[in-house]
Amino acid sequence: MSVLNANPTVYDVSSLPTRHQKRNNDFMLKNEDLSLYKLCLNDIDTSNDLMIKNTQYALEVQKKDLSDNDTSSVEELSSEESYYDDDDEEEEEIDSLEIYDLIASISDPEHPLSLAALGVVNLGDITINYYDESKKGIAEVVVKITPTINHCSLATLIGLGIRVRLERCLPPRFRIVILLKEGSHQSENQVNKQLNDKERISAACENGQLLSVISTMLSTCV
Amino acid sequence: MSDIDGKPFTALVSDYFTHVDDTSDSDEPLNEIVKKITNNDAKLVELIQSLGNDLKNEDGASRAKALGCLSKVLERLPLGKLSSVEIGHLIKFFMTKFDDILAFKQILTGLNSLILMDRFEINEISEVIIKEFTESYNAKNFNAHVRYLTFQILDNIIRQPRNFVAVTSDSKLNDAYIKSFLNIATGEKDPRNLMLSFHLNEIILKQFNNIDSFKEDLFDNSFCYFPIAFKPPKNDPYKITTNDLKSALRNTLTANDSTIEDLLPNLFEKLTSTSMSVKQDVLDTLKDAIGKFNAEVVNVHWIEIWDALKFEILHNDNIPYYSVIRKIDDLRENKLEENLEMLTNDEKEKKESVKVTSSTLLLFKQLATKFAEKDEFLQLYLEKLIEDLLSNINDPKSKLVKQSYLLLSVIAQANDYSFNYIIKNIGPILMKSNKLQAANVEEQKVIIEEISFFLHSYLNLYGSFTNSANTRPLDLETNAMMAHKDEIIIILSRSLVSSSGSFADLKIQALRNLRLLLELKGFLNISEVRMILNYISDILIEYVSLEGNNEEKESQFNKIYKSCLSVLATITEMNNVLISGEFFSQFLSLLADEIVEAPDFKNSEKILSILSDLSCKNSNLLEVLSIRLLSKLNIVIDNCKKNDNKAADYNDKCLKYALLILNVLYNSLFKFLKSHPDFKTSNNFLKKYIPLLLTLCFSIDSKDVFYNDSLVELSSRILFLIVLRSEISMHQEILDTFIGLFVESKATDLFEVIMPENIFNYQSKMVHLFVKSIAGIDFKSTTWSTQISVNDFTDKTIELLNLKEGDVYQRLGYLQLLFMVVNKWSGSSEDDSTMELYSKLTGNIKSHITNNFNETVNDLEIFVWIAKALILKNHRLSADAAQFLLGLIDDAAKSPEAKALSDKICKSFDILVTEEIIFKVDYTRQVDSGMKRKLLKKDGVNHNINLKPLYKQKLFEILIPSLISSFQTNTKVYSDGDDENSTILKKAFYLTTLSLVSNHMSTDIILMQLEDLFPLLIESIKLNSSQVRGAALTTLDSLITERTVKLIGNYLSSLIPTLINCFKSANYFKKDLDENAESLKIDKVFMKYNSPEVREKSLGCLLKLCQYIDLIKLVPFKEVVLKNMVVPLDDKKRDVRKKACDCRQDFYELGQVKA
Repeated sequence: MSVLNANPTVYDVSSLPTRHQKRNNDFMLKNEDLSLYKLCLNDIDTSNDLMIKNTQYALEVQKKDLSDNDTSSVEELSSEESYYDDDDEEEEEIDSLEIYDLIASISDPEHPLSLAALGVVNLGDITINYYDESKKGIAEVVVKITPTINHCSLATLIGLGIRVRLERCLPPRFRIVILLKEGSHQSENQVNKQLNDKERISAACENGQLLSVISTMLSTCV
Repeated sequence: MSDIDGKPFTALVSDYFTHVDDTSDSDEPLNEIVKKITNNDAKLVELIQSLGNDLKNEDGASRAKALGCLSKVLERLPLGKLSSVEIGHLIKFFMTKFDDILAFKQILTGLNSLILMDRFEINEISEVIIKEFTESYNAKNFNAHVRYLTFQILDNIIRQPRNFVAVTSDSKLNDAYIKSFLNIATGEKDPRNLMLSFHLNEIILKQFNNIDSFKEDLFDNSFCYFPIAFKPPKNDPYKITTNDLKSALRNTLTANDSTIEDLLPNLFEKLTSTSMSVKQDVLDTLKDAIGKFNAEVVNVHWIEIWDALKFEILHNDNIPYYSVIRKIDDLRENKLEENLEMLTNDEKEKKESVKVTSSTLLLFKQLATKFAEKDEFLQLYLEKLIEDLLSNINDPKSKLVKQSYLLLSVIAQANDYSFNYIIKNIGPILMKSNKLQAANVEEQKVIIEEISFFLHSYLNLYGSFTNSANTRPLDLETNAMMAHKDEIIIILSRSLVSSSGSFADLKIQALRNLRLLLELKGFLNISEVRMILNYISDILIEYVSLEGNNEEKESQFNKIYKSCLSVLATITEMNNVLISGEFFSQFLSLLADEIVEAPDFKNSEKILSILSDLSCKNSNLLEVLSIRLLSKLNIVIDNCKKNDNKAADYNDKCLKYALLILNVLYNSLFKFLKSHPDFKTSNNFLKKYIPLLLTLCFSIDSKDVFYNDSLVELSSRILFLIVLRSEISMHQEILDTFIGLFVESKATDLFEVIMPENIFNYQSKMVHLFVKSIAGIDFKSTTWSTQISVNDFTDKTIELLNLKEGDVYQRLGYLQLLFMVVNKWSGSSEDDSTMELYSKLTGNIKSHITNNFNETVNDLEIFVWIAKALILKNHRLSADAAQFLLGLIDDAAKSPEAKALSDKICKSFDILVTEEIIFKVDYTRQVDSGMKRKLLKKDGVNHNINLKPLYKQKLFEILIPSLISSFQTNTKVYSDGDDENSTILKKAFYLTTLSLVSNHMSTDIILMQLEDLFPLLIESIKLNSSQVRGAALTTLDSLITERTVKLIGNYLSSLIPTLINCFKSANYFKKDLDENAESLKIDKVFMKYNSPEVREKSLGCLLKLCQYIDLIKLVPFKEVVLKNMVVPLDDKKRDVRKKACDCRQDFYELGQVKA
């Protein structure tokens, strides 16, 4: 079976999935601007508002740091302060749509179009495999690309571009695997091997000429 | 003789020889000579005699000078001075010198002057000139200036009508003239000469005889310049533009229709060029030619034009149809050409190609318009076109269908006859292709696009319902489009309804065309409009009633939402009642009157946002919506009160629902007013809406769940907006009414509402309604004219505040009331008591500060609001007030509650400079100035708050130097080891204040003191408070501009590590790092204050550094930034990660060469 993307349909970029522009429902309950409470001095429940206290504390730490390296009191000080705690933050996980958004706007090396518009990358072809339940540890990102023609000589270049983009933009706990979509290329195995060969990738990245082509491809990223 | 007065001629001539040369301007001797001759004190002959020897001199230079003298005299003589005999002799004289190359310029000047004289006549002598030009003159020997003279001479010979007739009526002279022209014009390159050459050529072609024998030479002489590529030099003295030359050339080429046989093939040959501007030149020339040439002549040749140009359209696969159609409209309306200079080459090329395509299309339309004079020509033209294109459109597989339709649709714009003829012939085919049920989405899209071409033709020809100027009268009876009306509606609605949600593009296209359909003048009747409205309502209802989490459908819908709205907006324009009546009723009835069991208000939100989006564009709709939503709100509140069978969170839900409705009311009003800066709220708003809103608010009991800060705030803001935008002439009455209502509990003429208890007897949140209402009133045109004087009023308010009752919001209301009255209505007569109050407060604060915390805070609060009122209007106490607050910090340090007190003092600075909504609404507005959006002050006046434009700058200039110097002095004390705690406290105070104040200042103000301020700013980023850190980063972000690059560049080594620490989340340490590493503990504490905003902002600052700072300064930091930026890549927050990606990408690219 062969998957062909020859003479590709150029997708209208606005109809592709993305998280970038959401419709602005800007005036529903959310924008109650009652931050004006702060315009009143008497509102202050002093335990909540420790601007000065914290500031002063920061300076004390600096001073102590300078004078005697006595860090034991740091612990002590910090325990009584109420600070911004990011445990309360809602975790927004890295998902396939986020990865899609990272690579969708890379431009094709020979067309003035983005990879998403050419259908080279598709949301459905991106998978993330976690190795632990918490989804916090090492994970694998698999991106399958569909070249526009099955003898596309630039498939390796496109793959390399995607890899560079992802390595720059994903935290190191993600391992990146880039494959050609099954049946989309004549020499699928060779290309796959080349795309995931560490030695060859780092060699490619030392080639200034190549890197500048990739720079141009990535310059359209949003 | 001539020496009766002044010098004799000979003396003047020798004067001339010694003093005047070609470059100097001193021509006194010349003027003397001219004067003498003019006054008949001397004769011209005498001049020639005096010049005699020099005229024959062997030396070319002297000869030229002598001839120059004569020419210049002739140039300055009155035109009627010389007799025709004299002129004749002089011409003869000059002609004898004609081969004198060295003096040629002077000879030509002389001849030119003679020709311009009144009594110059065409006789044999002129013929001699013309002959000389053909036989002995060789243009190559002379410079551009001399050549220009020859053109001038030819031009001037025929300038006088009688001379012109003389030349053209004599066949010998006629031919000789043309030959001379051809001789002098050949090989010309100078732009100024060319302008004249084209002009002469045009006259010859248009008005001379015997053109046929010369037309080829004349044509060659002009066409050899086509297409002109000319770039005017800098400081061009003649100010000749490329367009001047191009249009002069076009005029020449199209001057005589007998040249058409030469013109067309030559033009078509140029059409093969790949350059868009050459193509455009060809098209422009053709356009002129068709416009000017006789219809008969065009009729003979149009097939050539058609054959040569049709492939420009038909074989162009990449026509950007939408842009082309827009461009055609622009060209038709002769809109100003866009300035292409700002665009990139790519964009320029695109625009140019769109223009070429549009011009080609318009050319075909022009042919149809041309033939409108002769019915049989038009008939033949249209028949041939249809015949040619029919094979394309009959074959659905052909790739030329769309192009063919486009061509026909543009020709249909020409006139009634063409429109009807084309629609009659191709309409059935176009519609038939739709009946193919199998049409897939792509095909449907194409069909709709093709239909839209013809809708555009209709619009173009007959106009829209709003604008019927410059369009043809419409005869619906005979209009061929009417026959297809039903089919068109069916096709469009089918695409809307039948296809499932997943084809947003198709739906958008259908909606866009429905809107177009609605716009067509006279096309749809009311029941058809209603039908379209129903389609849209159905879509919206489907969307509103989507259940659960159907993200995919929602996102599909969001894509077509805007298009739906724009159709509705068009219907509103056509028929207001259809929307405000039927549509509104339908959707309002969908809104629940009571909370039954909605877990969230998703559906209500959707309904309300549809209604609001519609209303914020149209004042009638807004009024209807406001009144109807308010009554809805009443019902909701009533129902909530009546319901006894209450679930635990029932009340909360009711409140939320009420707030939602109120929020929509407020935001619709706000958006509408923002986009209509000159709109004045009508009486309906003042006299109907305000009483309704007030009654609703007053009916709320203080124990009610609806007695809520948000609810009161929103209501009061609505009041503010309405009052702010009412007619200024009404303001005094409004002010009196509100004072009567809230303070004196009495009803007034304006509206009949009574407040149960006044705001002084009974403290209530409702004070905000009063405050915001009077906040909108113009203080200049009103006076405080009630029984309670301003002083009593402030005293009473302070008395209430001193009770320290009520919650924060309520208290804030009274504080703002105090501010409002002091700022707006406390005039010079009340000044003494203001002073008294001021000194009383400062005294109180000073005496309490070390022993009574609560009293101090209370007084401080009142003081700050009064100070704010004074500072805003640049009262003489304002500097003093700012200094007083700064000074307090020393005293506060001694207080047992020093920390908490310092906190309050810091905050008070924040209060001083914060501009909440009542300051902003009318004060600035956005003005669209082309590329850049700018904030401009509206007429420089703010009529609702007494606010002097530069108050912030003044405050800043007082505060900043003091803050900086205090910070520095305290650093010194600290190093002496003196009272460390209070020193640190003070430093913290200074930095916090600094970042809070700078946060509210415009960048321009800060820039003036940047050098002193920047190090402190970096210090304050390091402070452990997310609020302060955020404020400092926001300030920093706004400061990184081209103007500050140099300064900031010097601080990179401390700035960048600080920013790096700011973008790490504390979470990071929990995961990876060794908890026991001592050195990291401080960092860990530091990062606890990195809120998501701080993290995002610090990344934003780095990103900006990347854009502005010199590469060479930034590259040393590249590695460390990239390494550290791995941390935010794994941030919990998506926005932070996004910023980190962008930022990291930019840093990677630093110094990278692009291919």
